[in-house]
Amino acid sequence: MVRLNPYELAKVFSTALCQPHTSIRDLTDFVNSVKKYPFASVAVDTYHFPLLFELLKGTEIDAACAISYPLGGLQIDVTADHIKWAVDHGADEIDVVMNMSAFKSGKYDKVKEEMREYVSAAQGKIVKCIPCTDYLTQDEIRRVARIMVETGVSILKTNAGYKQVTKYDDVKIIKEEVGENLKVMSAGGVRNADIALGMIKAGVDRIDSGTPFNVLNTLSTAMATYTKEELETIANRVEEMNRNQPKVRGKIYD
Amino acid sequence: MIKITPEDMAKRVDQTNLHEEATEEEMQSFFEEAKKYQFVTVAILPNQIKLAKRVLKGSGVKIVAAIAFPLGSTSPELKALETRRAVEDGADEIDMVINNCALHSGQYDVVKKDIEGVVKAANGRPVKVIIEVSFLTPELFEKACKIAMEAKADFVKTSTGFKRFSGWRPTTVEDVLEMKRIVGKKMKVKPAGGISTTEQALAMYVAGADRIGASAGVKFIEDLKKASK
Repeated sequence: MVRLNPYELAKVFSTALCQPHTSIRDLTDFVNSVKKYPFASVAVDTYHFPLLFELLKGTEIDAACAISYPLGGLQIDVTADHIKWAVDHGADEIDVVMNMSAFKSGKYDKVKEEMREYVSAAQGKIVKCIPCTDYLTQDEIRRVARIMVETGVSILKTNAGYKQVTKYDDVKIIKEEVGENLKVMSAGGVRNADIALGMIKAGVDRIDSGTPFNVLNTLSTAMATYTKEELETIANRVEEMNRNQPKVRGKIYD
Repeated sequence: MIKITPEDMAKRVDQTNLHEEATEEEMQSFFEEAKKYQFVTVAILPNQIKLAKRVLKGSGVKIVAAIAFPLGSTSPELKALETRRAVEDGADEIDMVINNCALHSGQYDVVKKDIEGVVKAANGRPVKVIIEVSFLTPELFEKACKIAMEAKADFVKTSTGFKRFSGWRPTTVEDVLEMKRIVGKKMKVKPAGGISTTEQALAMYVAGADRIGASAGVKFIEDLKKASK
């Protein structure tokens, strides 16, 4: 029997709602739908965060806060202050965008120092750092992954979304470069289960989707394109991903 | 007929570069160019202000910091903090994104206090409130402008120009005229977002734009120089 189903898949999925027209009503409806599944985390902006925190009380879904999002354009100390604010307000996970300008300018020591500062500001909470791989060459992706390993960042989250897309190869080369020393979360362009399963085969540790219900609803269609053996392998991998998931709020789902 | 010189246009253009992946070298040349063309300001992300300050020193070109950009739904205390730090680093003007979430949730008090917090932190520097017209009904458009006015901001601005939002649209002359109808002479108006041709910039100018936000400022000036020959 294949153990892959929407409920199992949700355990290794994160989602977010950060649009310029998101109202309190939209967020409440969204989170109430999300709560029907054991998702790993939900991320929102700082203004929405206290509400998200309330809505997720009593669940094992991590409350994540998007910081310097989606451009990474704040000064380092200001970004760190935002992170501290989020942690003070109960954030389990921090989704912070890297200072891309410094990285693209070759200031790798500065980038490393910046990430360490974010990790320190997060006071033990999970830090997902976003380098926006969509704008990076393969060499740059390898380099940023190597830098991140040395900083205590928990998860490399590939992109911030908003039309940025993660390629299967991005995930593969990051895993090739850093192995088990850094978790990889694919974010950007995972619109359906077909892409999600492709990401799992590429070696991802967690997946983010802005359209999580579409992913879950298309799972059976996507599974139809695989053999029973392949699905068994993917199901095993999903179990393993779930077991090794860094999470603050709850235990890893049994 | 209205005669618009290249100098007139340069005085209206907030020359904009909000590319998060722009290198220091690219930003440096962008600032040098702004200096050469004597744009009234450059509009940039907060982590570029210090560099801008160094390169633009003594040039007369002012620095605009984009705050809570582009989502706007930042906690008010953090938005004020961003503003304070932008000012410390050398920002001369603040372009803040309105609290979109509060606006779309009908929490008008929050929207107003959020702007007031930024105005206070800006400590006398002009504050522009970006209302993102793409996602507003005519009623919310008007409400947003009026709140910005009550909160004593200096400008209303049409859009972040962040084209990656689904459903985003470029700013039109109609947006500018509607803003001017709402705020009258009490506030200035800045169209921004998708103004990429000189014809569009001229149309905005004639419609009464007090500033024009664009990354194509150099093209506007060069076209006007050619036309005046």
